[in-house]
Amino acid sequence: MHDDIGDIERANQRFRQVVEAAPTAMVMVNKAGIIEMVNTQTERIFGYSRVELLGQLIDILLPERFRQQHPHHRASFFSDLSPRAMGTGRDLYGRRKDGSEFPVEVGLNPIETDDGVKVLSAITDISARKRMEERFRQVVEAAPNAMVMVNKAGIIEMVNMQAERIFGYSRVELLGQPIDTLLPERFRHQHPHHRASFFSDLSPRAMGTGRDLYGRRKDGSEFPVEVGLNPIATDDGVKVLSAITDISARIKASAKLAEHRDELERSNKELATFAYVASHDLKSPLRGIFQISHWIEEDLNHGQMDAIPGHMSLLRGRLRRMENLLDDLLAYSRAGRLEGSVSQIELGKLAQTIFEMQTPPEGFTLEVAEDLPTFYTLATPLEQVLRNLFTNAIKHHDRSQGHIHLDARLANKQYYEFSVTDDGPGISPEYQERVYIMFQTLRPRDEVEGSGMGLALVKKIVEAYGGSTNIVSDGKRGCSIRFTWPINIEERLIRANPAEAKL
Amino acid sequence: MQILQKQNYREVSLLIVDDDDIDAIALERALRKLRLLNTVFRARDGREALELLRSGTVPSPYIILLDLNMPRMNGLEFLEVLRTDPLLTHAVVFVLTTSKSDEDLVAAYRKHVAGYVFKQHMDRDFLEVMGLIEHYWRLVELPVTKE
Repeated sequence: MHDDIGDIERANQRFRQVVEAAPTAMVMVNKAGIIEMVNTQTERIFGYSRVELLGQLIDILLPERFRQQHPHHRASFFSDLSPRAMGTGRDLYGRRKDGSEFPVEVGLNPIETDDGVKVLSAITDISARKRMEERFRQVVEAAPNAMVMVNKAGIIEMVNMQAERIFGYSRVELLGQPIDTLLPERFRHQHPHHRASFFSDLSPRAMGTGRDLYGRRKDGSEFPVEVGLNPIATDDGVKVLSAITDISARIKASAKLAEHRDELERSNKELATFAYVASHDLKSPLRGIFQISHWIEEDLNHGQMDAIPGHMSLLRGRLRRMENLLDDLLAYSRAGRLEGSVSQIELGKLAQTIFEMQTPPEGFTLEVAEDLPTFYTLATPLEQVLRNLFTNAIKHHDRSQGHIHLDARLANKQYYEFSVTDDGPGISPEYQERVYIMFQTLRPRDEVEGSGMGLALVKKIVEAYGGSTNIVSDGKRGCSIRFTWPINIEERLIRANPAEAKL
Repeated sequence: MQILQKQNYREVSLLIVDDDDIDAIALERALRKLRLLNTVFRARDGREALELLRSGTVPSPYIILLDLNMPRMNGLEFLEVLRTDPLLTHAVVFVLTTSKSDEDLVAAYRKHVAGYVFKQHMDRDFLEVMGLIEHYWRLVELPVTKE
């Protein structure tokens, strides 16, 4: 009997030593909530001495606002005895002697004793962890791109301000929602599969390498995104923290850059062509003039006068040719500028005026369709195009009588298509590309005087306003040159010169 | 097509392919100065030259004096067709051009031209060129096609 008491006493002693040595605060209370035992850690984290705590209600260690519910929670624990964590899902706080609070985690263990059931609570001060969590939250919040944390089920658990901003949702609207909310509908069905594969092979990486990714705003609009995925191990299991960047601006900028590059390539090519032709076509009349002057000199020396008048007129012809080449070259280099004043034109009337100014030979007529539009446009370049097409039709006509027809139709919502049709010899399909090249003529200049710039100029002007040209001819009889022209040219000018648009 | 000179004895004929009348006249004057009486044919672009050659209008043996920059079919395009035509591929061609472009020069020699000459110093050049070509046909055996 004596020995038995000694055994129990020794067991008690050992129990006390274990509790005392525990790295966390341990507090034992009885069913009435009275503290019966504490350890050194308890004294340390709560700031009370052991004597001050023993015999007190456990509520002394709780912030006042929780004290009222505590007896109720305690009673429910005693009615269903099993070791468990206290207050799952709620944030728990301890209260120090000085009244300050700190976050805690509490494990509860029922212990059977001779005096009945007691509860041994293990209390951990989790301030440091809470601080880390808070810091993490702040880092995420301060991130320059949108960050969204989801759990394995794809439910959003955290978002930052940028995420609210770029998706147009408020935080409350997102938390607890499936991540699919932020995806365009057409991608949603594949997403669970992608997510599962990410969770099965956890490593930070970019989402959907090689695919174009899109986000979906609250208003249903989409935008291109780049997404970085980071697995994060938490107490609740692995989460994914996604960093989402709206790359619309970057894509727009690179498109703009590509546009500029194409434009630069085009103008470089034009410059190279120019340098090449300048050395040929501009030099050729000069060489001619030089040569003829020699012949005249030789003939004068030999007293042969008969050929001189012919040579003189040949010489003047070369001078005129040179002048025409230079004029047309200048016109070409100036063509297609996106500027100038917009005025209302009646296309039919305008065409008649241009035609008459060409002083066409007798037998040549222009017929304009009745449905030609009256609209606001840049008159000068349109006149230039029509003038060149009329000149070509007249100049290259092989008969004494010729008819030119001007028609219009709607090509699409933005463009008219105008066509100038003649009944001349036509342009054989094999030459139809060549005629657009600057200085290219289909007949020697000594037969038909011309700079070879007409259609090159037409093409350049038309393309400057976003249109296109097209030749329809079988090369036997008749030729129809068609070009598209913007219905609303002002819109294009404003886009090209946003600064001037305000004027 | 145009026959500028009539010949008295069988000599090599010349085919000038050039759209510029002045160059054609200049060559003619150079021939006259050198007292050469070869038959001269004139085409204003590659297409016309091919027609003259294929129709047999230009009698063999002949030498072609070719400009590069011409309407419809330019000199390089003409050479391309010429060298792939089994009946014309052997033709002796001198390029006479204002083009100093390396690309043109290399492209012409790729098509096996006998020489590439810059028309630069105008009248003088044509005398020298015609002199060179005269020596060429006197010393060099030219291929003759049997008609």
